[in-house]
Amino acid sequence: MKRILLADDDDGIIDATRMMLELENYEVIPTLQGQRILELAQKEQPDLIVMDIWMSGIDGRDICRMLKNTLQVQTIPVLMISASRETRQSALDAGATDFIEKPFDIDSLLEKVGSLLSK
Amino acid sequence: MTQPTQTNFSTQAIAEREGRFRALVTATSDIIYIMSPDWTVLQQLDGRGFLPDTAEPTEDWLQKYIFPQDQPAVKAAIAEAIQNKTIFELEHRVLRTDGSPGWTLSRAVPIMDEQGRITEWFGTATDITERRQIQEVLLASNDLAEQQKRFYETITGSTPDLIYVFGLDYRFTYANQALLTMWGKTWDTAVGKGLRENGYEEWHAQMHEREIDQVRSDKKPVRGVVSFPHAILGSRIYDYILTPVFGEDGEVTAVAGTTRDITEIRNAEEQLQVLNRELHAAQEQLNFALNAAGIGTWDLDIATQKVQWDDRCRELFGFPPHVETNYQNVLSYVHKDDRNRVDKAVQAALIPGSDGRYDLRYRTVGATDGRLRWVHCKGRAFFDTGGQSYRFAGTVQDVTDEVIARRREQQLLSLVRYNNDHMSIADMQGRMIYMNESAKQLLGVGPDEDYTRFSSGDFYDADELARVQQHVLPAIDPEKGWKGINRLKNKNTGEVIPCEVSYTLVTDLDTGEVIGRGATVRDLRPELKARAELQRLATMVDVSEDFSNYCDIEGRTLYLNQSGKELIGLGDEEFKGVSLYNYHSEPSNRLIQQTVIPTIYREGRWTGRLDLVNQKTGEVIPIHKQMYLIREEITNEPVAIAGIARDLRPEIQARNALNKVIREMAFLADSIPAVVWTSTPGGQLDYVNKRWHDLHPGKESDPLGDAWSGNLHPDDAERAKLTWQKAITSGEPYRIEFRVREENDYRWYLVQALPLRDDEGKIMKWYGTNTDIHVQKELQAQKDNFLGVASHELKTPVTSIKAYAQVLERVFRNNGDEKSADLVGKMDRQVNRLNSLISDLLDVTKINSGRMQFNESTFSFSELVTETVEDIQRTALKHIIRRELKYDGEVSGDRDRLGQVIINLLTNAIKYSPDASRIMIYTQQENDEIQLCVQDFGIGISPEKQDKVFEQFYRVSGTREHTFPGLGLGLYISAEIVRRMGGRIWVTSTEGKGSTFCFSLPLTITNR
Repeated sequence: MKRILLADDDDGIIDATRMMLELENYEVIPTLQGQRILELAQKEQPDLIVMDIWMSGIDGRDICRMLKNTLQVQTIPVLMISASRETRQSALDAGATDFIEKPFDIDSLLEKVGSLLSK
Repeated sequence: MTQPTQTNFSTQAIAEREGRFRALVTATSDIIYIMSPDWTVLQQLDGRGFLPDTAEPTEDWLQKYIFPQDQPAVKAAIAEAIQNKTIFELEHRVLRTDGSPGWTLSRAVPIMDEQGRITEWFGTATDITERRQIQEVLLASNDLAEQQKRFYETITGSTPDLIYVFGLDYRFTYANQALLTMWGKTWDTAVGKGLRENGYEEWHAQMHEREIDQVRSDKKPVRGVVSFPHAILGSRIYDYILTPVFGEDGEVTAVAGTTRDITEIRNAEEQLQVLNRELHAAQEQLNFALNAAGIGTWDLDIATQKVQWDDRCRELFGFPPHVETNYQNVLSYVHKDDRNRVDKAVQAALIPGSDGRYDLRYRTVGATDGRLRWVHCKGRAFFDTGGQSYRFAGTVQDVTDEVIARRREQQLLSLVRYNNDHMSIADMQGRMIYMNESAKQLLGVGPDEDYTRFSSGDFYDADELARVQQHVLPAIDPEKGWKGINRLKNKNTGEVIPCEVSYTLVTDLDTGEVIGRGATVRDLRPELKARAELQRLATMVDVSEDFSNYCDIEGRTLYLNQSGKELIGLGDEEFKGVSLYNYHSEPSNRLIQQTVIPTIYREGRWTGRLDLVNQKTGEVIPIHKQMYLIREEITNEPVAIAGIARDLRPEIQARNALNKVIREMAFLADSIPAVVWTSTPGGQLDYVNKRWHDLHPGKESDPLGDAWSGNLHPDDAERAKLTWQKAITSGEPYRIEFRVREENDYRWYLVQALPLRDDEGKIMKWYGTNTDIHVQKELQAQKDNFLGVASHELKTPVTSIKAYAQVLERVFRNNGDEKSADLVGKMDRQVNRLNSLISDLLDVTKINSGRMQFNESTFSFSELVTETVEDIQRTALKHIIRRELKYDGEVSGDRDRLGQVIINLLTNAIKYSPDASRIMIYTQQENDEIQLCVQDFGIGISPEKQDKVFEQFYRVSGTREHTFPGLGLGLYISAEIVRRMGGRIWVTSTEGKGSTFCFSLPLTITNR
């Protein structure tokens, strides 16, 4: 079973997204705290990290760069979520593997997730 | 018999011809000769005893046979005959066998071959010695005068002489053709016959027979006149001479005669005698006249070059009497400047064929007295029958006085002719005798026109002519003349010209009779014009509002115009002689004495400020004055001081009023809360109100000139300068927002300026205001910020709702509850609409705050369009979207944003064509642009609304507008995106038929 680390500072989004992913039988490791992503990633070694770009007090792109600079986790694909499509390029520049805009379709999300995990 | 060849035939013909010639030669008594074609060789000569025979070709025949003096004539006649291939015919002398000269009539015919070349000359010569001798005898028998006369008459007379010879038996042995013609007979029927047989009446025959006897016995000629009928001409008068012809023994052997028809001559002679008598009388008179007129005569013998002079002639040339003179000698007494001219004229008169006339005036220098004289020499050359001049004779007259008089006259005439005064002379009937050039011009007579055809009537109107004739002309005083104004008329233009005319009467010096009147005319037009000008000028000065005065050199007032009198407060007569120092203020008087007077003496004029004192009210009146020194025209002595002045009170009042207005305006400007400023047309600030200084207490922030931009926020300064420059160049209103430093902070201002233009539309000044909009700006920023945050915060729950809905939909579907699943699906679509509204608000916020970001990339345009169309097609249930993508290249720009524009156009097309089932999308390259158009077949947009659809919050309204929800931001956002990418967006539409929305992107963007 594939394991996905899901990070967003809004518990509604965490909850709904987790439901979507679990419909496809993925194991979700949720967190509301952006600061914990690196720690959790190192600890849990997920197959995919899905995270919001704007979380309270922290920029997802900074975390993404840290992940990509950390040896044990740098190969884990990152799917960046953002309410603004303008941040797409900067997210990819920061090392994100793919990008999805809020609000997203369940089909789009699952397609992207499936695609990233099959690599 | 065979036909002879052509050559044989010719040879035979010649032989026959020669045979005939031989026969002819034998039968005739004439001399026969044959000459070579060019006459150089005499082939054969049969002299008949007259000349020595020769059968041998002779080359020196000319010397041998032709009389030396006739050789040139013979040669010339031969040359002519050869040249023309004609008969040679000449009477000339030959050297006879005995060496004596004899006369022959020689004729030769050219013999020519078939080509026309002369092969030889065949000639005959008749002995005419006897005939010639008779003629010579006849001629010799006449006395010299008679011979000359006859000779002359032969040339001029129409009737040839009759020539004949009688034998002593009274029979004719010779009669010339003229006589034969007269008789109406031939030689054969007349010669050898007596007088009676030739038609002479008995008395006539007896008379001549008596005369022949008389000649024979007296051995002297006999002369007579007889009248008898002519065969053709009728009764004629004849003059005849009978002359003895002597034999060798001195006895008379024959009587020769000549007879002349003198019918006309007789008549002429009778007349001539009358003429001669008259001529003689005339000659006498002429001589008398010549003497009286001081005319001398001269006669040059061309052969000897001797000149015969009469005494008068000698006197004129200053020769001593009786000294022989020749032509060269005479020439040496001609003035050296005239010598060449005289010689030329003489030589010209002597040229054969000329008319021989000579007429010349020249100067002589007296040989004895050295006096210079003008002579008028006239003469005529006489030519002999050969055309050679032999005599040159004429008269000479002293014309010194005449020449001097004429020169004087000429000088006077040219003085008159080219005089600027108009002068004319007319006779007492008014007929023009003379007009000088000025007069012609004045009265319209052409330079070459004959003015003597005109009279006074041509130069006056009828009324004026009558007045002049009745009142002016009779009033001309014989001594003082008359002077007055006449109104003359230009003949051509008809212009009436007022003139001052001076008449004098011209009288005959001897008789005192009045023979004409001279007129000197002065055209008064320029004077009248000048006077009118002067009048106008004086009026202008008199009525001028400027003060004018005129003082003598001591400063005593001579003239003061009306304005001056009013200003100074002096009456019409009161100012005369009043010193100018009396009506200026004390300080002005000092200035006049110390500065003004020295200046005008030095420079001629002075300009400056003075004060007048009104003599009635005592008011001091400031004036701006110009003073001039007037100098006497000829001596240049200063004679007067002229002044023109302007009352400065209205000006000062106006300036004071203006200053008041300016102060008020400045007060007004200073009391306005906004910053107010003005600028020159060139953009230099020249005024700023107090408000600015209140806000910027330090001197370093002075905005005048172009220092203002130093106070701007560094991010705004460059943009502000550019915009300002653009405004002052184009004259368009200036409008900009920028931040200005105040203390340590920057505040936002809305700056606006408008140009003030003069009547011609030229910018005089810019008036600008700076309005503080900092608070508004801050509020705007807060609003934008709020909207941004709000939109973002709104998106979070929307995302959650959407996610829950989709999970729920799936769960229902997995459980087979399709009805609930569809319901949740509808909810999801409403969430999408909500999201789209939020996105639009977010975009507008970004546009307004200038924070919309673009992510540049280069991508395939067709791929983007196809992808977008497929996305939309998925949710569009009714419409089929047809693609026609002609542009297949790449585009640079923000792919997502461009996709957003295409989505917007497509969703609009679907939204506003609810009844249609088709949408068209096409792309193409047009010049440097890539164009994309979306066409629908829906409700369309009215023309007046088409421009507005791209405005913020604008929504297409129509009868069914309530069915088209939305914030009206989509096209605004699309338009902003396209503009930001350097493109254009537009719409074409027909109401009820549909719309086509297009945008273009520059192709060059791909090269960036």
